[in-house]
Amino acid sequence: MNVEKEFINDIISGKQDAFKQLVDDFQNQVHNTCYGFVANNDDADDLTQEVFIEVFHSINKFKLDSSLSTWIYRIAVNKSLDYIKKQKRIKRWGGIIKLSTDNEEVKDRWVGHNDTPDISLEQKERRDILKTAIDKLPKNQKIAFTLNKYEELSYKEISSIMDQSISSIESLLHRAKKNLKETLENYYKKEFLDN
Amino acid sequence: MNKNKNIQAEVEKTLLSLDSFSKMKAKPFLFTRIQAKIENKESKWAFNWLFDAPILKTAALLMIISINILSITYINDYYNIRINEENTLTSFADEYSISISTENNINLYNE
Repeated sequence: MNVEKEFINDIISGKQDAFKQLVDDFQNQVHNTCYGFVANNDDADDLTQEVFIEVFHSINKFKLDSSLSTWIYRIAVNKSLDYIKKQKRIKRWGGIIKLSTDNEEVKDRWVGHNDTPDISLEQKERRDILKTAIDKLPKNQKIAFTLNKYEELSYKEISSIMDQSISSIESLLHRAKKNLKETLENYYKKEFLDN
Repeated sequence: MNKNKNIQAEVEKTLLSLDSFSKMKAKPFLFTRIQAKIENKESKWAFNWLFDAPILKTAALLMIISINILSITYINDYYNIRINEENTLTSFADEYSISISTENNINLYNE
């Protein structure tokens, strides 16, 4: 914690090397977390920049009541959720930017690094279906599920980020999986009926 | 029964598709881009410092409100003076049988 405190003080005092170190250390986690929410690489990149700009401007308010990574994850989650809310508002009122989450092909949607061309269209479609189901989860379930499944954080880490007990996180994840199963069952029932 | 089994199988396969993901990495030169954005925002702030100070914003708002009140008061006074002038002029004209127009042309006439 002392090392962290010193590191934070260096950033507050404007040492560029310290801030660069922070960005280098956390950029992949932040990008991956944002990507888990927005499922678009360019948007995740924009959000990652916004997260670190927020960190830069707010670091003097960080009270060391949690670890630096927990605090940064919280900012990443909040920025991602704000972005999703904004996109829904635009979709509702604009009609100019089409942000369809139906079966239309969206470029760069949930691409995995180990995707080869033959990692089939089927896998990609399943991911899109899953993403749509995750989007329908209540907010806290979506956060817990994304952080656990996509960012592979432990229950303890998630409880720190969400400021809830570990048992609450367990409950959230249990309900999230249950809801996802229900949503997917309904989806496939309809698919089977239509076909 | 078979149909339910098929549905469950599809659900499981879809849930498992998440396991095939590997984590995404940040795009290159992220720090450079962040730095550029911070510097850009800071230069805007330096230029707009005058408008960012809350006390100056309050002072500007009070000034605008005061100007509006003064303008309304002035206009009211102006119209009141004009009405009084016209009334005086009308009384004078009536007493001496003179007609006046709104352009202040005075016509003499004999009744």
